[in-house]
Amino acid sequence: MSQSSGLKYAYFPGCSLQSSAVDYNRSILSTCTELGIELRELEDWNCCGTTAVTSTNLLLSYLLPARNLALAEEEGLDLAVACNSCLVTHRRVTGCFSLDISPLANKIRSSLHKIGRTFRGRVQVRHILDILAEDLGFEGLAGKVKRRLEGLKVVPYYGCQYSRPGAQLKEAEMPESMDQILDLLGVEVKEYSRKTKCCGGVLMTTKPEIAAALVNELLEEAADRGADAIVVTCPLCQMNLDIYQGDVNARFGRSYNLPVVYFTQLLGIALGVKLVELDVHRGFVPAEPLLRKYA
Amino acid sequence: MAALELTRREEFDPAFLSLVASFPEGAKIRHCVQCGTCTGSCPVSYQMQHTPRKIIEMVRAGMRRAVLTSDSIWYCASCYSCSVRCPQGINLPEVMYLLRSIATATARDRSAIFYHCFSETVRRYGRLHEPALMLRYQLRTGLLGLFKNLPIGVQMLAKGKLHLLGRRIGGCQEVETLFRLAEDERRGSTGVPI
Repeated sequence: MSQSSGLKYAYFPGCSLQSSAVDYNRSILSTCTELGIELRELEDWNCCGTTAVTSTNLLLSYLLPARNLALAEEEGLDLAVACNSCLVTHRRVTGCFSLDISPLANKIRSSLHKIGRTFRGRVQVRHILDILAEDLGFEGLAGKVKRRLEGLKVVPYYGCQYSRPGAQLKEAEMPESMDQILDLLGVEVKEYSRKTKCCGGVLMTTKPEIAAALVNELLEEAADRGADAIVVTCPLCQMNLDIYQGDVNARFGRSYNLPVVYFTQLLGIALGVKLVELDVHRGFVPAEPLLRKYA
Repeated sequence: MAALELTRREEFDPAFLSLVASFPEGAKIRHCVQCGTCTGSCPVSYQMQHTPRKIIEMVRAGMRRAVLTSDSIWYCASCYSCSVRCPQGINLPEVMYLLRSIATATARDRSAIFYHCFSETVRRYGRLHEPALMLRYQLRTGLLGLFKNLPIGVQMLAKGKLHLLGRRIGGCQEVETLFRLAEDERRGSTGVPI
């Protein structure tokens, strides 16, 4: 690890980062190592339940993430999450604890007690993007950039749950933090009106015709803006835009060929991390030909 | 109420609104002004049997069965576009979660089945195991889907993005206890979770 930044978190990779988004996980770990940010993987974490559990049993949708928060509190660390959906589910729990009197918080407390855990609400849930943009900060990042990615044109796609719910309207619909990081790296960030429009999420499995139409719109604007690639912050967005891009092409008679990369992969390249340590070869739409010249 | 189709009197259940309003996010629908910003912001409302605005009014009218059997509540992708724009501060995806939690036992929508299979997979492993989830889901919704998704699965495997073997976490017993506690709560006096 390079010089420590003094930043240290309990790291919650989430289920996707162990399967469909192993590339996101690897690029986060190698990038944070390079930046001196310590991510200590939360031991024996469980699935946050995501929208699946919120849609079947409301109480359980608070209890599953609460166990992870209790584990982080035992470590005395804030929780770093990589997935937009994990972010929302864990924050739903911390939100209950920020209120003075919440019957729900009491119910969560007593349920955790029955599995021998405690949570007092002393953990903050931070997205990796916010850790880089706010906790480390743009200045801290700028000093570490070794290679500028000049000539690379991208659209920044945050997905819907990075800034929602919670943020004020402008930030909720048009966040800027990733734009600013990419800008620091010398990337040409194109305007993108669909920064936080929905990719369809799990509807890609249950109602594919609807989700494919949403992804088609996202890809269409990216192509119209002249982007070489789409940069994302969420494993589910990456999956819908990349893995299902061929399916969208077939459904709508299009020929999109847009690599969908994680912001941590581009950041890693700019920091001088080797391509292989950023897993850029795993996308369905190959990103390597586009990125090789910068490495 | 003119926007609602005529419904037989016995289909109005005033207790339904009380039930929904007994939850913090549900209570806020009393303040809905029916402006339709939610419907206009929703990326999937055009597909719904009843738009989000209408669903709120139907809950307020007590149209329990019509709400709980409509496909509308299963279309929401939780993008929260409606909630950040709502002038009354209603968090509609949370209301949709609540309605789904009430409807889930009898729902036959593909999304409802998927969410149930997902939960059961998490219950077994403590984490998501995609092949197990997809197998459960396809067995319940038709094996044709399995064949359709097979090429993507094979390619994911080749890209190292899928693991065939699932591994259970050490805290599976804790997770199982949390499932049981939440189920006991559902069987409690209100008949809904929480």
